[in-house]
Amino acid sequence: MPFAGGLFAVGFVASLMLGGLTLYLFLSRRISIRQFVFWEGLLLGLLILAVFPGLIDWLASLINVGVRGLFVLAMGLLGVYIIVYNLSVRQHKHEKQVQHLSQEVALLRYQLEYRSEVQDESSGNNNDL
Amino acid sequence: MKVVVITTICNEEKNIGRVLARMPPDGDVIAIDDGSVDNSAQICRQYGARVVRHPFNLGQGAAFITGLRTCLMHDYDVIVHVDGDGQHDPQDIPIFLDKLEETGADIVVGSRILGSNYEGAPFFRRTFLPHFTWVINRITGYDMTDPMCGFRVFRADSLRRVQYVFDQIDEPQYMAAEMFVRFAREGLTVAEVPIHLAARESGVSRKGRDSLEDLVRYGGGVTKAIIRALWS
Repeated sequence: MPFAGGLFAVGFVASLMLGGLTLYLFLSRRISIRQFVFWEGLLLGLLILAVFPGLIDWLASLINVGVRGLFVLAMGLLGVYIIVYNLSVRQHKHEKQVQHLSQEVALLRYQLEYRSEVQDESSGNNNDL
Repeated sequence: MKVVVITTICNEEKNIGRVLARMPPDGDVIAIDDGSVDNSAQICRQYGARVVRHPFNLGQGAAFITGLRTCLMHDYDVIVHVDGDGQHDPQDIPIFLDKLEETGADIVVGSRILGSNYEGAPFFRRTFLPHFTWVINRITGYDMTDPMCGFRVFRADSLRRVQYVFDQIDEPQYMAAEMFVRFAREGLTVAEVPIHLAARESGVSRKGRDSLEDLVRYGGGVTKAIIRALWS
């Protein structure tokens, strides 16, 4: 199947290029080691499947999927779902952290203003903060 | 009784002056500026209010929590919250304080339903608020008619006791439902007084647009808040 062979060649080359890019981003400290390991692991998996395409048939037969393309598509969708879910959870966590930090900043700024106000009034004793 | 009034504002320069001008003369006022890009904060200062400023917009619920936290740093006895858009009349505050004394409740909430002028509310909210209220009452055991009303009075000592609840409130915008569910669990009691809601003189409410999108945001926010409170 020349088409399938071409597709695997494209997958092979794309994996190598993305692997190189991920390595470059990691070495230039733009992504964390956790992200590096995740993406390199994923690309390594793709690379192995590109070199040994028979593995796809074997994996598909393990879960009783007859069509190879359907199996690849399903695995791809599952991967995307996991990544989106993970990002969504982390985004919510970061939103909450930013909210708490902003509230803390607002309160600290208020305390500073209030203290200097009280000092300006030169009483100094009625600072109940 | 040392009373403080907090008001949450976001770009309310055309309304906030009118609200502050009607504040009782003997109480402190703290304005929570939720990331305004207009002169709201300066106007508040001109009227003698202290201002707490969020660096950017976090949502009215988050601003309200910041306001409560600010008040609890002082030695106030009672904390009053009024919206900064001019729809609540600060002249009604004594009615709330009387109710607080009379019932011994921890919280007194204004009710637009008892005040019989809820006709002006957005259609979707008018239609669905009773259902949300029913759900909240079933969960909390309270007997409220308008839990979403922002005109509220709190006993400061009661809030000090349950201050950790503020960290648990997750919903930054439509947080009333979550707040009441959590407060009910802590045993806080609630009473209601009728209030008359004035029409906005200027600007558009971020929650008050009468559209399907508003219903989805409002209903979604309230539902999420209830689920969060029940889940935790």
